[in-house]
Amino acid sequence: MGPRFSQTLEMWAFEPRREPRDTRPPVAALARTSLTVPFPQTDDRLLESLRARRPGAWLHFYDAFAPYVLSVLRKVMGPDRELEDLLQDVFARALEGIDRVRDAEKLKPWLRSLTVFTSRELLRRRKWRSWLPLGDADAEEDVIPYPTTTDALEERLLLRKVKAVLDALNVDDRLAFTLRHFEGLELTEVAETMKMSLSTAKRRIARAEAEFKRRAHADRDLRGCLAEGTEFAS
Amino acid sequence: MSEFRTIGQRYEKALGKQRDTRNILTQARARFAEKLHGVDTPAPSRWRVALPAFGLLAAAAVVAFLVWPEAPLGVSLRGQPQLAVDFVQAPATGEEVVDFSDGSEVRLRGNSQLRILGVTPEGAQVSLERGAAHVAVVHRRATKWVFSAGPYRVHVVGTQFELQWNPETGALEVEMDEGIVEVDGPGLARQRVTSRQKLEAFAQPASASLYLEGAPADSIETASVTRRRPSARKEPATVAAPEKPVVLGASWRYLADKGDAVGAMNAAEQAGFAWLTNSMPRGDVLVLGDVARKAKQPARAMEAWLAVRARFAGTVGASEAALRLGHLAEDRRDIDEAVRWYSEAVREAPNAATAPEALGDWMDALVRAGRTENARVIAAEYLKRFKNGPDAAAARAVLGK
Repeated sequence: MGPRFSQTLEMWAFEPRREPRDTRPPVAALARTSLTVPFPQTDDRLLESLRARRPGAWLHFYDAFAPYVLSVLRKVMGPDRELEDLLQDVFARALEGIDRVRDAEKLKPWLRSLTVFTSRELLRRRKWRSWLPLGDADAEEDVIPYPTTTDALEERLLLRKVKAVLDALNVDDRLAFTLRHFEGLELTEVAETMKMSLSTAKRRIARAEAEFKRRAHADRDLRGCLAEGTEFAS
Repeated sequence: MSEFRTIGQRYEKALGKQRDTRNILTQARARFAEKLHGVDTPAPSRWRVALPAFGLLAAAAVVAFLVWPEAPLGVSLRGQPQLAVDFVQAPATGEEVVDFSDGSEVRLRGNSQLRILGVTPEGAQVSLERGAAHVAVVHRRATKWVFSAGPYRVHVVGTQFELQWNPETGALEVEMDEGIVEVDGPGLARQRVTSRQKLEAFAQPASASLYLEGAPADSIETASVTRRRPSARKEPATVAAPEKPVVLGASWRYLADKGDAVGAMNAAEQAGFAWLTNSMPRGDVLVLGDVARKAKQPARAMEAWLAVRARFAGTVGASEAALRLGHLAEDRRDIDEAVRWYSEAVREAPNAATAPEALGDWMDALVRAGRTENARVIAAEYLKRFKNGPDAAAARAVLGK
């Protein structure tokens, strides 16, 4: 095994030149090209590297899975100004809990589960804060960070309205509902992700659907979307 | 299920158009990389026994922390802890540092004034009345920090940034080191400024420009000047009080933005080159060094980058300056000196965005110096850490793969 990198730093950083200078052209001039070689590790090897805390493995893990985690976060949370904090929290928890993952195939579902539970903590904390008699000083400020330029007004309104309905749901119901209908998971996957029985998952989804419909019917645009869905179904 | 199909599809489509995805991924990656520092090496086995005990202790500490009644943050002036801090004025040629009990600090630059308006358990309200300050707020679960500068308010969660306010010209600058702030004020409504971005705003008439700071160092000569987006405000010199150095500083920047390096250096000399390097935000001093290098004034470039290393020691900026100093040493064919600077750049910020380039340039310099054995060690390290990096092919060539 060669010297550790920190040792090589000490060894080579300030060492005076011992050999005559090479007149060959610099290597970088010959071969400084951008490569498109994909990261070759399989999930098995990646998991092994993560558990061994190999340098670079965790950032590869982040690069490979962060877009998926962010996609799940967006669906369960909606547009939210704390998405970045949540994303970072999910990976910080992954760092702590990776030793519990035994099977590389479970890596993605495990990360999805971490994502959902991390979101649940934040949503519950917000609910509790909203019950405090002093209210939440930041509530007014916690607006949806809409893009300001090209996005259609209708889409922005839809996001705002759906988020408002989701915010009104029970937190666990909301998570089960969004995983089922927005993330498109099977019922068994919802139950597995939320660490609950299949019947509980079904019950929570059904309750959220009823509440979502009740609230959506009070809004013309959301009512229209629901009606389109019904027509499509029939 | 299909009843929700349309609404789900539209919701997903609208979410997909949110434009902050790349930003969020980048920011969270940077924070995660910081967390990884020192973690992505195998832990000694004895920790496997000790960790649960530490975990229990930490859990007890967290419980105690949660149930303990919170007191407002303590504030003190560094070096004079007995003084009550309300108003702080930094001397013309020095700095004052205001420490908060949560570990946050405000480093008030020379000739600047700051007033503490109030402190709470979650943070503080601070007014920068004039001048510049470097702010480092420690991120906690519940933080609420607001920095006001004239009509502007900067909302902070956990971050490091440089804030400048000139009440005579109504000019505000917010330059981010890391994290996110939001700025309210004339012409701005909760404007987000994130890592490596710089906001310049003018109160009268209200206008603001957001710049993306930094550029790959392999194109340092022009990148930091030309890659900046064109400012909406083309005539920064129209602001009042032309005798103030800060206005002359804007002038060098304006010329630099136009690509006139020699003119920018003349303007910087008029404003006082040393004053600029010792008072401007980190990013500006780095750019000033780039301009000096482009104007064939390596001594000035070195002065600027050494100033960054002295003023912002231990930050990513110091590492960026080391990388640039390495390039400068290569300009004068002092390969040993270049090797020394590249090694410093890697050692100081091993996870920074500049690390692949610094490591690659280090390897390249060793090859130029004929120190092939050393270059092979660095090449192997490069491939281990940045298998798909821009110098990976060069590293393989060094290793003969």
